[in-house]
Amino acid sequence: MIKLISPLLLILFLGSCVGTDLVDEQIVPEKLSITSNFSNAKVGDKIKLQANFFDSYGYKSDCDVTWETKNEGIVKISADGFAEILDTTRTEVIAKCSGSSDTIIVHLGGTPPDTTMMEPTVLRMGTFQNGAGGYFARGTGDIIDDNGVLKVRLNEDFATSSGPSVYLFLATHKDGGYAYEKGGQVITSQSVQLTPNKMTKYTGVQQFEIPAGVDANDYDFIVVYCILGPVFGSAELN
Amino acid sequence: MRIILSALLLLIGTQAFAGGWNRDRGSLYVKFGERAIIAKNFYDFSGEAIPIRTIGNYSTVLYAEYGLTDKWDALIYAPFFIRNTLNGQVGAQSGRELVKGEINDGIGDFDIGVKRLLFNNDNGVMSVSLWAGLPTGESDHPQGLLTGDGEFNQFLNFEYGKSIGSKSFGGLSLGFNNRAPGFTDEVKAGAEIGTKLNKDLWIIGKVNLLKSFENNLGSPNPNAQGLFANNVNYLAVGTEFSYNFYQNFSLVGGVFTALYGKNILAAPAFELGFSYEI
Repeated sequence: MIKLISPLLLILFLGSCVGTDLVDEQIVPEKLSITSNFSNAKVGDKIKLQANFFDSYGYKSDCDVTWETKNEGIVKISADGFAEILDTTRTEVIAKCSGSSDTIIVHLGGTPPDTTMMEPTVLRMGTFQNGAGGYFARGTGDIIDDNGVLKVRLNEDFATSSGPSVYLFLATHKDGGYAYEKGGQVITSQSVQLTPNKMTKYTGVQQFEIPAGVDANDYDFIVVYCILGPVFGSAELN
Repeated sequence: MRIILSALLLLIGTQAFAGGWNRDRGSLYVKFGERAIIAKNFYDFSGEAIPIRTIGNYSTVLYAEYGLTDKWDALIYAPFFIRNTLNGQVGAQSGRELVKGEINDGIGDFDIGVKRLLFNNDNGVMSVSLWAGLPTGESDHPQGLLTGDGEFNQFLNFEYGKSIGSKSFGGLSLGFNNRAPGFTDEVKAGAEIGTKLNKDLWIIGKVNLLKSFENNLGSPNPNAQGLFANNVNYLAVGTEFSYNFYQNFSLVGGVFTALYGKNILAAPAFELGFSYEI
């Protein structure tokens, strides 16, 4: 019997390996995005200068970023990649790399931030529409500023088809095929993985922090996506 | 992967004898086989085939029938090793790995049952079997590569068969699968016709139908309400063979494909194995 079983086991272990599927990619403009946060900076602070460079396929790539300031009397860029705040006057910090650039306005002369806990502010909102193949998503979703933390909020009226591998994304399109990593939060210029792990609740209010350094204005959709393939639904953000 | 498990159980015949025939007292039939589905498409809720990441399901199954008496058989369906694979994704233009592939190995949901002969006369042979589905598989996995659904179910199946001449037979079956709360109940029906091409080779053609009642959805269960567990419907056709190549040993195999489906992988299922009978 062993002689009979052995070939079957051989077929099993040789034939059941994990393969790869090829996915067509969209060509998008290269992009540089400053992720350093100057919003709570004070005179004398040294802030690490950081930026993400996204290549023409939208993926984060290494790039030697050069930094400039419009006024070195206000913000001084050090050789080790820090910005030292010297004055409270408004100026700009500019990052450049591979033909792309990004600018952030540094303005410390305003009113100190109010540390009182406030109600979340809705920045953008959208209504879910069904995706392909009979799967659904309905209700509304927002991007909110919750006391300085940007979040995607699914509202009370939210509901979606449930499934064993459903994830939530911010995206520039609603066509699926988003990059993701189990337990991670993959960021590309086309999508942001909001849920490190699969969703376990398919109705009602839920909130998901947008990873630091992501400019939520770069993405137009909240997408409920089954990583096996289909988009269950998406909300275009206004 | 419950869709695959439930589909395969019906799609690919496991029985030594089709129709309502049962075993003689003390006789044994054992089949050890490998089943494979590799799917790049999925029949969604509307019945449309949509592209998905390639899913592979490989089940190593032991199936056995034993004649307890001349009228009662004991049955077991034991998918003791299941490998589920989910392909990774690579950008076609950039060559960059977008998503890593996944693999999950485990045992599946076992089924045990009994079969009772109802009659065997000139009008044919009829029996009824009662299966108990046991939640021995893995019903939770981050990527949905489940090997079981985590529920107890009971499957009552009536089978009728009739010999056609000395070398052929026909069979019909009708069954009801009562599943736990949160899982949709199902009705299963089948028809088959088999013929003996020579003294060692049987060829069997089959048609199988699975219809979900689309009920029991009031008790949410994330595993039951996903792609793979509920509201599965299909009409499938296929063929099987059994070639007696040495004493009591036979080479068995088959291929089935769905003509129509909802919430099921859109790909043919293949089986190859050996059977032993005494």
